[in-house]
Amino acid sequence: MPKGRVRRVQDSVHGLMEFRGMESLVIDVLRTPELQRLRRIRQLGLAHLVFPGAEHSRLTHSLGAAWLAVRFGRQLIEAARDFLIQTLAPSSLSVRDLAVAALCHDLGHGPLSHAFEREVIDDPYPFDAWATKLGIPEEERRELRGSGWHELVTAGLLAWPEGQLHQLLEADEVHFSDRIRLMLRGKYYPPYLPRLLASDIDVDRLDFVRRDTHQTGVAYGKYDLDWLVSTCTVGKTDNGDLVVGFDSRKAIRGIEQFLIARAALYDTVYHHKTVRSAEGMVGLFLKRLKDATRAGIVLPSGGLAEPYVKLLSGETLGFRELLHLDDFSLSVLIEVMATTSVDDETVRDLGQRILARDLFKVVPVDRRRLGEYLRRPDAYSRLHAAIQPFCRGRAEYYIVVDETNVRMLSDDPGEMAYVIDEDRRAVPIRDHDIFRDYWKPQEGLRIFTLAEAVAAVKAIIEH
Amino acid sequence: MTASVRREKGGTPRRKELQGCILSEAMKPKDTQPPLLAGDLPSWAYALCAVGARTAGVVRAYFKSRQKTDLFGIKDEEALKTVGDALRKGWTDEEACTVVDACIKAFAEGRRINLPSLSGWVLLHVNDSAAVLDCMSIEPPEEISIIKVLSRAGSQKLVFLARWTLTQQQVVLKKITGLPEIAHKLVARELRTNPLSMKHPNIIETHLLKNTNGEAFLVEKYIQPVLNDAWRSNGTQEAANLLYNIADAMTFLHSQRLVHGDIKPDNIARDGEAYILLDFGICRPAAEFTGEITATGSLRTRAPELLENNAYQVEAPKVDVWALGATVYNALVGRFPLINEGEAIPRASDRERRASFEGELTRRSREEWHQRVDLSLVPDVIRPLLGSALEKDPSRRCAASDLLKTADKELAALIRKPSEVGRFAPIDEYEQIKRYFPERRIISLMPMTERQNLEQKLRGLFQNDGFTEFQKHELQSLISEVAG
Repeated sequence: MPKGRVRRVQDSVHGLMEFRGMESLVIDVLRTPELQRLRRIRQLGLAHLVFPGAEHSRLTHSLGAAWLAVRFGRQLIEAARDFLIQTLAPSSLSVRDLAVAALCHDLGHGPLSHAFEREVIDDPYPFDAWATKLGIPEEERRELRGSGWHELVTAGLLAWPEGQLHQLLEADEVHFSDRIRLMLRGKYYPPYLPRLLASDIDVDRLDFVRRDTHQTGVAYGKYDLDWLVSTCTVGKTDNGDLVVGFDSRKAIRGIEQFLIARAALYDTVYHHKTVRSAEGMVGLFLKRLKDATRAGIVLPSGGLAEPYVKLLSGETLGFRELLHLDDFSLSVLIEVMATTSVDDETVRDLGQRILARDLFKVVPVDRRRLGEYLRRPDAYSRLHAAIQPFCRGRAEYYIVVDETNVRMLSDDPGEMAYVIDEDRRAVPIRDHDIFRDYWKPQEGLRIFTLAEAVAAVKAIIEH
Repeated sequence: MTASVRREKGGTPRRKELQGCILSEAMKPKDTQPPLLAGDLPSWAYALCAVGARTAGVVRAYFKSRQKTDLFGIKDEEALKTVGDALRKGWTDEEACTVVDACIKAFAEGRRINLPSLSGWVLLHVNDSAAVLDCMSIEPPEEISIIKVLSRAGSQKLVFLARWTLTQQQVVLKKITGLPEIAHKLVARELRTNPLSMKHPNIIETHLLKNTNGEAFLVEKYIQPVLNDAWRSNGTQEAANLLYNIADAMTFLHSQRLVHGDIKPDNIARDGEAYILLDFGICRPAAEFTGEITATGSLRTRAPELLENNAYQVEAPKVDVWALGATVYNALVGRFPLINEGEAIPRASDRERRASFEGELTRRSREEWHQRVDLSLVPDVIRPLLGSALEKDPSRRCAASDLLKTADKELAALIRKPSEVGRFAPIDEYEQIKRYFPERRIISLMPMTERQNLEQKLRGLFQNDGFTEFQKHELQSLISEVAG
């Protein structure tokens, strides 16, 4: 790579992003089909049904995260001065690695990520079958066990010998793709860098909070990114571990602003009732499709719907098929099932409702009361009986119970964010007085059903 | 006694003369008139009167004797109120009235004291009128405002903490007091280092500034912390760096044929990772340290030849070397070579006791040298070097340049030198690499250039003297892990 090379990209959120010298590899990686698939997956799933501007793709978010990795990396080169020796300070090479890892962090996500993984891939998914299919080496497999399906697919795509991504990285340097996979699993030298990829304040969250705010147009999600970048530094925990964190003398309000912004986005966008209703409906549609397939109903196959049909019948997919999983093929699947003569009324009805944006409505009941009701052993059977008269298909596919549980601050030591004082002592931000409340989970519980069945469901829950 | 303060031509009243003011009639204890009522006085005066009867007496005397026009403008009145408030925080009436009297006198003479600064001095030097009068006694150069007195070094020098508005930094402001001809000589002496300070990283940066009357002041970078007798190196590394940095500064001074003459902990500061040599009040050309000159500098670090002959010999720079050796010895062992632990040194003003103490030190130097200069108390790695600096015979004692050269080689592992990413000693580098050494598979996946850099770094460290056998062994195994 020519040293003086600059690759420039204009971004709606970060403005001009300049990848210089070695960093410019990011743009080459971006061009591979593995990354380009993310162009066809919306970052916010079905949020565009409520916020019309929320059409941005996972690709733009990934590129934004890579840019933030570059900015934080450059900052840390300065911040490590006088504290860490040369070999432990970030170099332009390690900043480049960090940016490539950030770019690839979402590589394995399917369309509508969570509903997709839960309903199509199964939860828990058959780890060994997938790991074998994706050719994940034994040691890596041990470390990935327990992680999400998309993380396994990310590793698989990076390791895919015939994939352009893998070949590009290995052409740049032997073992490059192995190193990026290791970095995504939190292991690297200097050891503190991977925390920028996965922690309470990382390049992923920092980008999506800004980008989702910008694209949805909500006003609550703003925070001072430049300030956070500029106060980012390296410190030492009480155990002597090196960690990335933020200057405790300067960054407290900036951190608070970011956490508030993120919490506000969950309240107003990610957990918006209509968004959750739509995601729940697509989830039910896929679940019914899977149940029907496994019960022996033959689905129309071929074309873009093919990989889904395979997945729903419990098969694993090869890399080329994985690259077809995106919002477009999913929407083709819904369209095909809704309009062709599939021998299942539930699938057809749910598909048609989704296409017509005829979404379930939230049942206005008290959260605590709903929680108590759902703990009854006969809760669901009574609900199903009550709504069956309103449903064209089977009642159990017409109720979405939406349980949310979000924490702004993780209790996993590997994911904690830190504040760092002038003596470079690092303390988890959750131990700071101001942030004690932020690591309490924000819980939510709602129930959605057909508009015409709302009153019946409400009556059952309340009486 | 007259209440007026004598001013020398072009100069400022001296502290002692200002102190003389406290004997003015109005302030004498017999003055027991009741405080004035609020209505009689402007509010600033009332604020001052509230400090106590004596202070009220001074204020009243001012109102009795004032001319048609007031000395104080409207802005001054506000500031004086603040001074009054400050004087009510922990000041005795007696000390407070000294300050108020001096302030009024200064205004009466047409010398404007910066009143907001005065309230700051009053707050920082609680119940210490002498210090506040010191602050009032000088007229600092423009752009400099005095924060507080740092030290009053004998009768020759007043040292202040000040703010240099031009650079928005805290600085040390030095004013040479005493007779003008002596002051001139002393300023010239300190300024000898001025051009040097710009050339050596271990010598304090000094600037010369003059006030509107043409009086010279020295302005130095304010560095904290300054070492003291109680400062300990807590191991070999700090001692090695102290020795190395000051030997470096000293080598430079000596190469300019200058002798510092007063090396001791109080004249060394730590600035980040480096030690800086301060205070060049005694520094002068080696040729001036002749047999006729009596010994100067601290007794704690006074070289044996000065104790025994009370005069400089041919090799005056060796006096500095011994003093540095004694300073490092104290940092390691907890006492200066010829001084007992915790032993009080009589002040120079107490001539009789001072002379007898000097006699005792001379006796110790002659009779108890080997018991006192006990190098077995010093860590192995630094012992030979310190031994050659603390050599009794100046002709056998090493020169500063030898000290530097040997330290550079034998203590290489411990010395922090500036690099691209800061000042790190090889021992720091070794410890960081070892503490955060990556697991094998991370090494095997490292970019080749980074891996080679790490290997080279480790091999470079291995070449340094000053590592223990165990550390060398560890380094060797780290090298083989990186090299695969």
